[in-house]
This record gives sequence, C-alpha cells and structure tokens, in this order.
Amino acid sequence: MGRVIAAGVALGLCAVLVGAPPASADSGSLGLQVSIDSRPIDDATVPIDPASQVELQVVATNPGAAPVKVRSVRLSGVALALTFFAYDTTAPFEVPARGSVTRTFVLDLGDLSGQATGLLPSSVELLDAQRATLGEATTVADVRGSFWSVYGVFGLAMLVLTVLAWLTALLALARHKLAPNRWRRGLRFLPAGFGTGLVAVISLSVLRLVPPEPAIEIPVVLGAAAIAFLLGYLTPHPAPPAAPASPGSPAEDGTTVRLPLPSPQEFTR
Amino acid sequence: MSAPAELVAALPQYDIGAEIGEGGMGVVFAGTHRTLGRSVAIKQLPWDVLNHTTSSELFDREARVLASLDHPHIVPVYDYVRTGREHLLVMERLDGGTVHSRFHGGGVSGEQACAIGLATLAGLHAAHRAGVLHLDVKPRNLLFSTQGVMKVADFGIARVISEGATLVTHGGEILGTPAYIAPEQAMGNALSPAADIYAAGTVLYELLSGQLPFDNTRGAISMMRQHMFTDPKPIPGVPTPIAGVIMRSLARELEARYREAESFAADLAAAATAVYGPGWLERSGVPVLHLTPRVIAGLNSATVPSPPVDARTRPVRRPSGPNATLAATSGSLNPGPGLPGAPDPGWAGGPASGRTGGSPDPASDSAGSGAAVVWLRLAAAAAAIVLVVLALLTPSRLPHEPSATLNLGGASVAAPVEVDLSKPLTLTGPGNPGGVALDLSAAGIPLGSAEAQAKPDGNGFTAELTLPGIARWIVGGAVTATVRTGSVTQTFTLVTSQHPLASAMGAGSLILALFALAYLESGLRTIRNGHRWRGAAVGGPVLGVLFGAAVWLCVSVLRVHEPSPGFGAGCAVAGAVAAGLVVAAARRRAAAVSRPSGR
Repeated sequence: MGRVIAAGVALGLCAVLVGAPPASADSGSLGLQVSIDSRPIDDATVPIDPASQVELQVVATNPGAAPVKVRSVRLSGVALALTFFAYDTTAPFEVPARGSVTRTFVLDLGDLSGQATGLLPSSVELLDAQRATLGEATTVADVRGSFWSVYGVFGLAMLVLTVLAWLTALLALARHKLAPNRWRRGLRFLPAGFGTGLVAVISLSVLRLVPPEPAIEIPVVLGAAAIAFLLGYLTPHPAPPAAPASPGSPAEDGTTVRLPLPSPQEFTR
Repeated sequence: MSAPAELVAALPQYDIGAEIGEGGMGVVFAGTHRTLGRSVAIKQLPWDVLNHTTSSELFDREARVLASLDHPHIVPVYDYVRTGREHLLVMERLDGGTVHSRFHGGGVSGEQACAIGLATLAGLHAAHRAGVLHLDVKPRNLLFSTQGVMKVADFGIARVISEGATLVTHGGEILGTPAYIAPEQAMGNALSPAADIYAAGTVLYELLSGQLPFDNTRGAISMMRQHMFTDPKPIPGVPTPIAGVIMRSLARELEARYREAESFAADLAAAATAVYGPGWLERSGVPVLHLTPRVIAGLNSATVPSPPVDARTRPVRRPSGPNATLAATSGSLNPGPGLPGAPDPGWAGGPASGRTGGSPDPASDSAGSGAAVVWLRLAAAAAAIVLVVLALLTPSRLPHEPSATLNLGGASVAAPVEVDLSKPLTLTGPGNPGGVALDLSAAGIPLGSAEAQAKPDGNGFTAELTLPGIARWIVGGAVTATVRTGSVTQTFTLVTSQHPLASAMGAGSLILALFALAYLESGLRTIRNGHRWRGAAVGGPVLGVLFGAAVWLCVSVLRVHEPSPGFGAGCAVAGAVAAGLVVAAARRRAAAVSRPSGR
C-alpha cells in the first residue's frame, strides 16, 4: 500500500515537473490593464463563475514608437507550471504608437467548471500572430468550478495520497518496517514530503485556504521533500523481530528449531 | 506423506513407510528391513545444512561414532547411508511412545520422573565418554520401547548439523529446542556435557513440577534469552533434596553446574532415595540398566547431596574468539569432578530458603519489578496529562501594550489584527518615522519580516509592507507581530485569515508530533523485542521534548492562541518526563523478562 501511494505521489510530481512548459522569455511590449466584469484584476482575487458569461475588458497601452498588432487574447490558469485551463479569443486589433486601445470581449467559460476550481493563478495575455506574448496581467482567479474538475481532483487526490503516505511511513517507522539502509528510509519519506509540498501549492488552493504564489511553488515542493527526506534519514535502524523464525510456538511445543543467534542488536545505526 | 523417491532408491533393502516425525533435525520415516523384518526408523537429515563438504565429512565421522554407541538407554544406529545429497540414518524403531506423550498422557509420578532421569543420564554419560554430545535432549527425544525401556534418540545430530564445536549452523543460526536449550548453546558458545546436563535437568524440572523453569508464553527468542540471562524459577512442589539437585543442574554458570552426567545421576539417585525411600527405583516400574557403581552407591546412600558453596549463577560469557571456543570444547569432554561445597539446605529456594549471597528471590524480584513498571507508567500518564492540560491552558493572547493609534490593514493593533499574509499589509500611524519594519514571531522564533519606507499621509504616515511569499505557508493561527517605527518598537497579536492547519506551524507541528510518537514507539518496540536501544536514556526524553513542543504548538495554532514560550517549555518538559518514564518502564519490564542478574 505504501509503495502504491508513493508511486502515486511520485507520478503526480513527475507530471508537474516534466510537464512544465518553458518559461516565456518575452513579457511583451504593451502595457495591459484588465477588468473582469468591470472589476480590475490587479491585486485582487477575481471570482469567475463558469455558469455565466464573463465580460473581459482589456486596455492595451503602447509606449513604443511603432504600432503593435494584436491577434488574440488568452485567459489561462496555471499552477506549478501546469496549464489547467486556457481560453483564446481571436480578435485582431492594432495598438497605435504611444496610444491605447480598449477592447471588450465576452467569454463563455462554461467548460471551465470541469477544468478548475478554487484559487488559481491566472493571467490575461495579448498574443501576436506568432503567439508571442505582447502584454500580460496576472491575478488570482477564484474559480467557482466543480470539485470533480481536473484541478479539483488533482488537488484532492494529492491531499489524500499525502495523508496516506505520511500515515504509512510513520506506521512503518513505529512498527520497524522501514529499510535497514538509512538512505532508503529517507527515500521512503520522500514521497510524503513531495506530497506535502503539492498539497501546500495545489490542494490548499483547491480548498480556497491559501492563494497560490507561482514564484515559490517549486521551492515549497522541494523544501518539503527535503525536510521529509531528512526526517526519514534520521529514523532509527529497525530492530529484528522477536518472533521465532519458524512457524508455531517452538518455545512451547518442544520442536527443534533453527533460530537466529541472539545478540544485542544496536537500535541506532 | 510417502517417502521421496531418492530415499527409496538409497535404501533398497528397506520397505519405506510413512513419515512419522519432522523437526529441525530432519524427517523421520518408518521402515522395515525386507529380509529381517526388523522395524526401523529412518532419519533423513536436512540436506540444506549438510551440503557443505566439512559438514558431510564431519557427519561421516560422527556416524561411525554413533554406530559404535552401545548402551541400553541409547537408540542404536543400524546403518548409515550417504548417496548424493542424502544422509540417512537407520535406527531402531521404538513404538512405546515418548516421555513427552507419556507426560502429557497419563502423567508421570515423582519416582518415575527420577527413574527416567537416571536412564537419560546413564545414556548421556555413556555417550559423553565416547565423545558425543546430544545437544537436543527433550521429552520428545526420550523414547520407550514396547518393553518399557527408555532410550535417548538423535545423539550427536545437532552437533553434526552445526559447525561442530558450537551449535551455530553455517547460516549463523542456533540449533536447538528453546525450552530446553542450555545458556551456552543459546549463545553459540563452546559446548560440553554440561549442556546436555542442563537440558536433562530441564526435562526433570518439567516432569516433576509440570512446568518449565521459564516463562514460555513469550516465544522462542524470549525463551532463549531467559535461559541466557535469567535464573530459573525455584521448582515448586518438589521435595528439597531433589529440587536442590535439579536446580544445580540448571545453574547458568558452568562452574556451578554438574560437569558430568554421572555425578548428576548419583546425586539424583541419592536424593530420590532420601525422599522416596529405598526401593523407589523398582517401584517406579521404569527399567534403568547399566548403572555405574557411583550411581548405585548414590542409590543406596540416601544422603542428601551437598550443593556447591556458591550456588549463585552468573551470565555465561561469550569466549573471546574462535580459538577459545574450540579449546574449551576439546577439554570439556574430559570428565571432571563435581564441585564440593558447604551444605545449603535452602538451595532449591522458596522465599524463606535464604539463598546464599543474599541475592533476592526471583519471584519477589519479579513482583517488585512489576510494581515499579506500573508506577512508572502511572507517572508517565500523569506527565502526559500535565502536557495536555498545559497545552490547553495556553492563554489566548500574550500581554502587549501597543499604541492605539497604530493601524494595520485599517484595524487598530490595540486588539488582535486579522490579516491576509498573501497581500501587502498597509500600516498607518501618527508622525513620520521614516523606515518601518514588521517582524512576525512565535514564542520568540522569527517567522518572517518586511520593511518599507513610510510615506507622509496627512498628519501621519502610511507604509505598505510585503512579507516574503513563503510566509503565508509558514504562519498559521495567531503570532506575535513587532512593528518598529523609527526608534519605537511595539508588539501586538496578529491573526492570519487562512485556516490554521494550512500552514507549516499547523500541519508541520502535527506531523512532527506524530513523527516523535512513531519514533518513540519504534524505540519502545525495540526494547520490548528484547533488543537494546542505545542512547534510550537520552533519546527518549529528547523525543518527549519534541513531542511536547509539537503538541503545544499544534494546539495553540489550531485554537488560534498566541504561542506562549513559558507554556511551550512546560509542555516540552512534561513530554520529556513522560517519554523518559515510558522508556524506563519498558526497560524495566524487559529486564524483568531477561534480566542480566549480575549474580
């Protein structure tokens, strides 16, 4: 059971780390102010109800000397570098030099209910014809989606698996079921640590307990994993069992048995 | 179960019957010689421990010695066959049952038990003189012929299967029967006839008292450790002369034990005569043949045998090296004189017997130890209760005297301020201090800080403080905030808006508490399993400190109480005391089971 949980947590972590897209190198040349349903998204948690249409208003400001052509607008939600939802609207417009343009789009986010829920780092981007980012505004979206959405299930599964990983690891510690090798004992605790980091980043945002902070998500996950590994590394060497090597109760039935040579076993190694 | 094909092929002159026994010494099949019609028992020795060249050669030599043993109380070996990996011993088949079956069937009387003991010791003495140790004497290996003659079976096989001088197999295992094993045999030390004497004494102890000399409810390892480190219980309900002889045969220290079976038998015969009167052997109905003159003299003397001067036993020490083991063994087979000593009528010892050396009685020892364990556990429980009470009594807020004019997030810091740490915090106040700093801490432990330049705002200032992004994951519940405005420092209580458990202070302290608990249980289990937890005296309290502090923090965070260092220290001390007492109780209890008495 412990191995299955560990594998589950490890798979989740791999999905997160391997699936991370390359960071965008170009943050764009346009200034961008965004309002959703007439509420500015800067420094605010924006509620998004997938059941109703969303009015997205963008004000693009071009400080440059040349006009910039915008091809589309993207609204996306990203956690741990994984994109959980993305909506693109193609609406070509041009922002004149040293000028600004205001555009309003009406988005139907009906499918979002099955894709995300909770507090999710979100961004609105202006893209050019080559899908390069011209301008970006970030916020935290409070998506009123379903718990059974992709993001919701991912977060809840991480929470459950992490609790089980801790319980099995601690029970193994208490019952002397850990490996004799200290490094392997550390590895046994590692999935629980990774899971704790993922829970801190994903599950807590799914449960709307802690808003995410994309900049330090990876350090949180790795830090939690390192602490758990250290705890596992510090666990004691499991002592051999007291039970007889052969079945039955030789002490009582008078059967000749072969038993391990009893010697004072060191607890800490 | 039918005989394997290789066994049938190896013994074509025998009709191989069904399996009639199995144990650590191999499997036994019934058989009949085709020509003579003689019933035999065929022992197939475990090939997995005989597949070493040295073992095979040793067994070849031993088989010749076993075949040469000719004594009415030793099961004769008729044949020995070695083909391929098979090592087969063909022996006389005894259909009169075993001492074990007779003991558990109708039981045996005191005279019968002593007669069985004499017969066993007679067979053992003959074998010892031939240089063969039995090393697995037990009721199941004491067989009766249909005429009622008791014979000792399986001579020397244990020693052959092991590496010779000691009873450690090639796999590093001890071979033997835990209930009857001698201390030196259990420890893998050098072996001598005294090991067989110890086992024979244990058999007699069981036959006479109906119980084993040690607690047999804790499994094989515990039984072996008791043989190694614990004095046997005084034999109950047995007349003192016989009890004295038997207890001497069970002495853990070799010097205090009979060194040869003959002296044991002579003392047993004399004690039995003293107790049961002349003619007891005939009345027992158990034939005992080929008694030596010394045993016959004992049988006719009725003089209560004298125990040695110092009947105390000490733990058997492991020899310093393999050479010591071999040297001890080679010399041990030479019969030596018994140990003379001054009379000690109370040797068999009840509470009033007054054992030599002033050593406490094991029964009272055990009772005292049990009471101590109970008291230690009660004290540990009391300390644990103190821990919980202290954690619950942690005050909601620590005393602060902040200025009522200072506002954080629009609320006065005169009362606890609830903030969202994921967002910048706006601090306003009178005057213009220039620089403003905010530090968060719990019981003096820093958790995060932020600094900003104050901006003039009317008659006062305003400053936007942004804590590090990690702070929202670390801080949970209520913490102490310290604001430095210029040269003025003020403290107040800050409460986070997120769920307390969704923080390192909440979930982390919970995990740490569980980790400390699991670690402690692991250590206690080590002690309970009869092993040594090195550093338990320090490790236990340290884990207790960790547990107590983690419980205090977890409870404080979950109840949104500002962590108080005084209560935290109290919880840590209570946890240390509780854990230390629990460890002490476990060690005491373990010592009661396998106590190195030092006597």
